Amino acid sequence: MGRLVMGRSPGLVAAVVAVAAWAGACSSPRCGLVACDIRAPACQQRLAEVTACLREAPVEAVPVRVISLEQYLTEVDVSVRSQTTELRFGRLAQGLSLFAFAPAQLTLTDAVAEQAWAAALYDPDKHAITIIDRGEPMDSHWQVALLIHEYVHALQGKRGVADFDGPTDRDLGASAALEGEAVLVEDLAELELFAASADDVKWSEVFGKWQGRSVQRMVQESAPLLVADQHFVYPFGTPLVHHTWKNGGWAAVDALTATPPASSRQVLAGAGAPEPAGGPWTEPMDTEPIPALAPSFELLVVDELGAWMLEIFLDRLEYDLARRGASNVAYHPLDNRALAARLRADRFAVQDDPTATSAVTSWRLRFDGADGAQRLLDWLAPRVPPFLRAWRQDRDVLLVASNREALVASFGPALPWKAPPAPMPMPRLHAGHPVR
Amino acid sequence: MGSVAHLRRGIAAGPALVLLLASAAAAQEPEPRLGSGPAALAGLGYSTGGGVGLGLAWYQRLGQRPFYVAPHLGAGVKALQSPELSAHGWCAGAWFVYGHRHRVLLSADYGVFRHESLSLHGSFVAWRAIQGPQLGLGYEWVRANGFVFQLVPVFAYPVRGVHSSFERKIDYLVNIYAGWKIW
Repeated sequence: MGRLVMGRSPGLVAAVVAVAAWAGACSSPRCGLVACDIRAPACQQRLAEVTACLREAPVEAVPVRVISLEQYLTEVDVSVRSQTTELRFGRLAQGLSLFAFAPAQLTLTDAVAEQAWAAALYDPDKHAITIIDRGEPMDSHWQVALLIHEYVHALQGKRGVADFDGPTDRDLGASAALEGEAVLVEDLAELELFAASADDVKWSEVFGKWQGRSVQRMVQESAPLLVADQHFVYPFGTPLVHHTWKNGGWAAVDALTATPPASSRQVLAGAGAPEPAGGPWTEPMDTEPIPALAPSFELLVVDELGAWMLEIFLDRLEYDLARRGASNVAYHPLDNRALAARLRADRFAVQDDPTATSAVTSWRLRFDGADGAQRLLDWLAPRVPPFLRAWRQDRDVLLVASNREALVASFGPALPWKAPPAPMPMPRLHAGHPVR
Repeated sequence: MGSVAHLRRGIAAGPALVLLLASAAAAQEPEPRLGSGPAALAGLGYSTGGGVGLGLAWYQRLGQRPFYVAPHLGAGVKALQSPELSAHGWCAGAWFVYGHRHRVLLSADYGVFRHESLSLHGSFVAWRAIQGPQLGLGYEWVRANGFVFQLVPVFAYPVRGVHSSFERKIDYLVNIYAGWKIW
């Protein structure tokens, strides 16, 4: 039959074959991805295979459980309360509020409730994925991509890429690589569902707008320190990994995630960028990093916040002044990035005296040179509120604030400093790698 | 043509309006063009976003009564939320029309009636067309100079391009057309 038709009308047959090939190319995505309800085991199995195909990696069998939002929030609550208490968290919030990093009235219950945005997560300790079921079908393109995102984390777990649990800034740097890889594959999956090519996307515009919005949100968030990861690791990690992938393929991404950026500053500098001053991306804080206060003070947190949070802190000061009409300088996001990019090390600490409800919050910032420190000091001088004092010691800027006027009066170069007994990072309000 | 001009909801009184207008307005002007012939139309409207389009139809009169079957073909564009993306669509089908100047119109079409857009991190980067059969009952007005106006509420059922249960919903659209019956 085929020969007969060929003999009679080869042109027609060629056209039919060409149309069939075109139709096949359009309707059959490269990895065979089709939307399905991610709560169904068959769908999960299929998406594990698609993830492996997109990521060009072996298929990884990962247990998947589906739980209700109520159960998820209960689990988050239990996890968070194993790290801190309502009372202690309230004292911490009081200290964070002195740098406008959280409202003084923020409760642990409210902070946990903020985690209701998660739709799924990968738990590296259990090497398992959890899907949060809100009682409705989960077969939209973004929900399919969501499960693929979590399967990428499972592949990372299989590769032995460690989930970093330490100072905030190092966590931001490492998580940016891990989440960036997961979002990259997630994006490729969504494009495949729309039969679109990654080559047709104006990625620099997409990422630029995304980052701009993230900065704006951080500037306007009531508790920016508690959501810093949400607004940093995705919008800044994804371009980092995307650039790495475009230039070196998945092998380069493997290398990036195996040796991730050490700080948010390194992520902000971009893929493969050298340290601006030719030095290390981070350096140890070899001087006493927290104020030595009266023995009645208890240390609640000592953490490294890094360049991203410094940028946000400066942006928020400027935004707040502009909003209150107290400054004739228009607020421009990103103006402070160059200054923050010179930060080499920092220690942020909250101490309080529970008997007197006195909180003292300090931030010691070390720059790559004394001129960088002086520049920050000059910038801060007309902008800091009266309960916050700032001064310079060589390459360091020291910021100390308190809710007690008498204490503020004692802050200055004569204030003694000491080493903390042990690292005490901020409590983590979520487990694993959640995604919306 | 049916796919490119959609006005959505809010005109639920469409069929009632059809009957009212068809029964009213006794002919005060010369008879419209009642024979068979082609028509060119332009449309606009709204479904999940505004759209404009062009179409061609052939009005075939059947018998002595003013009953027409009009096969038609149309194409158009729809502006999504992002100016960089302009989705397009097509539609083909037939209108079954009865009446002199004010007419009842039944439309049976197949084509694109909705677009799903892909937003990556807040930016629109791609779109996908949803196709399916569309059935409508509406009103057509034809003037002596050949001017044609249609208002057609339509129900559309997605069968192709659907990925999720959320997208598998019946759409209610309203199409508005204006054009000329050429002879």
